[in-house]
Amino acid sequence: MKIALLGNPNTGKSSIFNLLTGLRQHVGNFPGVTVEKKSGFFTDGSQRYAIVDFPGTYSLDPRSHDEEVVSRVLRDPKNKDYPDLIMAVVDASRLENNLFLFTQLYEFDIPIVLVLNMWDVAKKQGVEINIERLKELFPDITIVSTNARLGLGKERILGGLKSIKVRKKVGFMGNVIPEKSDDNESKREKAKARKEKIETIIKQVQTKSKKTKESRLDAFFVHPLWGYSFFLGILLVMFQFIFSVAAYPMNFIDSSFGQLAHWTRSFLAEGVLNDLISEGIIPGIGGVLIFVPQIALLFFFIGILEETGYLSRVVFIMDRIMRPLGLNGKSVVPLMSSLACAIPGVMSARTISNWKERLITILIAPLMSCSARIPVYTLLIALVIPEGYFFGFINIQGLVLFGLYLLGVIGALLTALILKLLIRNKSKGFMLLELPGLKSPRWPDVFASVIEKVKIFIFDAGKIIIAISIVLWFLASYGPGDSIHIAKENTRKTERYSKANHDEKLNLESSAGLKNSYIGQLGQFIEPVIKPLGYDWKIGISLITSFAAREVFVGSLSTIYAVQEEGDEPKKLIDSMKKEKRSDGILTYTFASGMSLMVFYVFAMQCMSTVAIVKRETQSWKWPIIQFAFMGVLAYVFSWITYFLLT
Amino acid sequence: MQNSLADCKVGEEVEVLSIEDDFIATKLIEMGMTENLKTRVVLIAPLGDPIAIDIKGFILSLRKSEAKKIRVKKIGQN
Repeated sequence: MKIALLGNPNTGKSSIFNLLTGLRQHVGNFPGVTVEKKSGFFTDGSQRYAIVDFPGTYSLDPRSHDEEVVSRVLRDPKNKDYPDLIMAVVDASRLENNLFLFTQLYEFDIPIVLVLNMWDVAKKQGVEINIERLKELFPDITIVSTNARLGLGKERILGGLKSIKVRKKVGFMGNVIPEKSDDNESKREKAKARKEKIETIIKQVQTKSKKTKESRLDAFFVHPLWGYSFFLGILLVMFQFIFSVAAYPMNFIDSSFGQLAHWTRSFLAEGVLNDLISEGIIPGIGGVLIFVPQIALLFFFIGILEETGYLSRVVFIMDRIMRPLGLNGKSVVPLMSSLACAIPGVMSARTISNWKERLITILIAPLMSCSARIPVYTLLIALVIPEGYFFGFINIQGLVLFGLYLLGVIGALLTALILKLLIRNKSKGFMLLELPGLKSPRWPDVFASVIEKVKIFIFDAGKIIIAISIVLWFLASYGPGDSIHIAKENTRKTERYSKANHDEKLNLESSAGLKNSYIGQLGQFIEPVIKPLGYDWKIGISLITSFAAREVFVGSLSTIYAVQEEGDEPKKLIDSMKKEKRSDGILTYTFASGMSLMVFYVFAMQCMSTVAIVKRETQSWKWPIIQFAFMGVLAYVFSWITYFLLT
Repeated sequence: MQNSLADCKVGEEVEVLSIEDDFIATKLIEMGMTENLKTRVVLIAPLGDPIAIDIKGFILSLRKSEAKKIRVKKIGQN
C-alpha cells in the first residue's frame, strides 16, 4: 500500500516519518524538479507500507515547486507516486491554520488518515479539541492523535491504518481545488470561501482557554545588538568545533586509504588493473569519504539550529541585509557553511524556496574560502610573505590570510549582485515565513537529517567524483607513446639518481613520470596562457591536478619537485620552491607570482566535488559548467591584475 | 484611523481591514490571515524589516513591502 505523507511545515511531519520508517529511508528527487523526495517502508506485521514524505506546504495552489509536486501527484492516478492513502499531519495546537491544506486534500477521493500531532503542545496552550465532533464532521476518514516528538503514536497510527474508511466523494467545498488556470482573483475568492467554512468548523470543535504567549527569548534573538552577537557566537562555536574535531576522522580516512592503496599495490599482480585500483579507484573513494566528517558535523549543527526553531530567527534578522544582493535571509546559512566546505553549503541551499535566490546562493557559495584552500594559502604565504609586524602588532602573514578570506566574501557578494541582474525570475520575490515555537531538538530527527545528507553526497555526487578521479589518474599516469618510460630511463642515468637513497629514487621517478604524462603535456601546453599570471608549466600541472581537490596542489608540487613532505609541514618543499627558477633564470615564486597564485585559488573552481554536488542540486550540467567558467574567468582576470600591479 | 500594517509598532494590536494584492492575499489566507482578523505585531527585525505578527498563535514573518499592502485599524481607536 502506498501512503503519501502530507502536511504543513513545522507540524512534526518528518518526526512521524522517522518514527514510522526508522532509518530505512531513501532520498531522491521528484522527476524533473529539484524537490526532495524521501521515501521509506514500514510494516505492521501483516502488511507492508511504502510511504513518501512530500514537502511541507500550506496549500495545494500550484505556484511554487513544492506545491506543484504535491498537486501534480494527487491529480494524476497514473503517476507512480499516486497514493492509495493520504496521511495528513496536522498540528493540533494550530488546527485552524492547518485545516486549510487538510480540507484541500479532502477534496480528493483518496482515503485519509488524519494525524493530530503535538497533542501535548495543544494541551499546554489550553487548546481543547473535540475529536468526536471532528469525526462527525468528517465521517469518511480515520482520525488519530499522536505526539511524535516524544516518540508516541506509532501504535495508534498503525491501528488507524487497519480501519481505513472508503471515501464518499463529497469533498469539503464540492471537490473544488485551485487550478493552474485560475487567475489571482478567483484563487483568492476560492481561498476565502474555504477559510470561512473552516472558521465555522473550528467554532464547533475547538475551545481555547489561554491566550498564547510568545517566548521572551525571541526579543533577545532579534535584538539589534544581542541578536547579531549571539548568532556570531554560535557560528564561532560551530567552526571551532568543526575544525578541531573533523581533522581527526579526516586524517584517519586519509591514512587508511593510503594504507589500503599500498596494501593493494603489493598484494595484486602488477599491471594496469593494479594501477587502476590502487592509484585510481581507492584514492577516488577516499577522496569522496574525506568530505564526510565536515558534511556530517555541519549538518549536525544546522539540524540542531533548525529543530530548535532558532534558524528561522536568523533568517528574520538577516533577510533585510541579504535582500539588496538578490538573496534572502535563508542564504546566510549556506554561505556561512561554505567557509568550512562548499558541499554542505550548496546542499543546505535547499531550504530557499525561491528558485532564483537559491540558484544565486549555490553559484556564489564556492567563492567563500573553504578549509581545503588553507594548505594552499599557508604554503604560499610562508613562501612569499615575509614574517613581521605592521605597527608592531599586526602579523603581516596573518593579515594576508585575512585579506584572502575577505576577498572571497567580497567576490561572492559582488557576483551575487551581478547574477541578480542577469538571471531572469519567473516567481515573485515574497517571503512569508513561519517562526515556529522554540523547542529542544529531537535527536533522532537531527541524526536522520545528517545521515540523509551524507547519503546524498556519497551516492549521488560520489559517482561523478570517482569517475573524474579515474580520468585524472589516467591523465597523470599515462603519456603519449613511450614518453613516460623513456623519461624514467633517462632519470635513472643521472648522477643525482645514482647518489639517491631508495625513497628519493622513487620520488625522482614519479617526478619524471608526472612531467611526461598527459597532464604534464597539458601543463606545458597551457603555459603560454598562464604565463601572464606569472606561472610556469610546473604550476600549470598542479593547477590541473588540484581540480581533484585544492589541497592536492601541495602534493603535486612535491611530486614535481621530487621532494618528500615531512608531516604537515612542507619544509623541504618550501626550500625547493624558494630555489626554483623559470626557464629564463628568474625565480618562479616571487611576491608577485605568489600573490597572483593565491588570488587564483580564491576564485577558481578547483573542486570536482563541488561541481558534482551543484550538478546534483540543480539537476543539470548547465549550472555547474556556467559556474566553473565564470569562476575561472574571475580567477584569471584578478590573478593577472595582481601580477601586473605587483611586478 | 486607517494605517498599513507596515506602520505598526511592536505590541500594537490591530484589525485587518483589507489586503490590496490578490497574490499576497491568497498566500496570507492560506496561512491564516483573513480580513477582520485581530492580530498583533510581535517582533520587528533590527533594520525595521521584516516584521512578525501573531495569527492565532501562529507567528508569521513578512517583509515590509508585503505588510504595506495590508490595511489595518488599530484596536481601541475608531
